[in-house]
Amino acid sequence: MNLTCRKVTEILVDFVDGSLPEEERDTLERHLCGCVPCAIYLRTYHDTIILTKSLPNVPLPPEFLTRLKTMFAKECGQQG
Amino acid sequence: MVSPTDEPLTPEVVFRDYVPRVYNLARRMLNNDADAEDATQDVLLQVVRKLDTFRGDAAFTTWLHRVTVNAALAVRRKRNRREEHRVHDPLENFTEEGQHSGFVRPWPKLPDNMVLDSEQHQLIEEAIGKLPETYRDVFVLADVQQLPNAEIAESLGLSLSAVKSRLHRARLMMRDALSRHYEERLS
Ligand SMILES: [Zn+2]
Repeated sequence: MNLTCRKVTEILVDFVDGSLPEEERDTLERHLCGCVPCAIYLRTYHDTIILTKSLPNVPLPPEFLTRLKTMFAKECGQQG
Repeated sequence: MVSPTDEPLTPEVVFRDYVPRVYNLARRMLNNDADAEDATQDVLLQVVRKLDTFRGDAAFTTWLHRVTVNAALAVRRKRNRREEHRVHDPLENFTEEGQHSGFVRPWPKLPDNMVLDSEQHQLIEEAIGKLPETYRDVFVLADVQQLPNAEIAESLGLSLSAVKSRLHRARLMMRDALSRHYEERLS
């Protein structure tokens, strides 16, 4: 069975999470060995995941945080 | 995402460990600071009512994510601001024979311990903000918040396969958006 580059791109999500059936994975790996664009595409797909995962949380705006803490304290008081 | 600490939910723990992730999740889903503040406030009111029943454990984080997603979706519905970003479908970048129709250029090698500088941080946040909402929600929950697909499916009322297909499409769009930056860096 041969995979087109488009088909390779479509199944990358299963490839990277390890859910691709073995036979399809072998076919995909063979394709990647012989196809430079797809090999680069896979690497940059993976890099996209790594970059996104590295995204830090931004701090809350200070005045909003103050407002939130006041509201929280007040609500906690009402809860008893 | 900070892992659950199993500490009692004191106000200090809530503000240190949980409020930042509520705010950031809402902000990325809604792509709007004021809307994110409204959603965060809604969530916190619900947290107050649950303080006695929960500890800072996995059950609480799961509950908190679901409540945050619902609050964000409610704010979005209330605003009724249909921001439909048109994004080029990455799966159209192929010839009829199924080959890549343009050059696929490499990016510079990422360091092992990736720490984003402020330019990269901003670039990625902007690219997420430009994703159509349908894809953005799943992408933020999966790839930013690192939630399991099953949890995302339940939160958004989607099937597992719908979650994966949206996540994949979102990643392809993100890859295209980031390519413009990272390919340039190499040349
Ligand atoms: Zn190929």
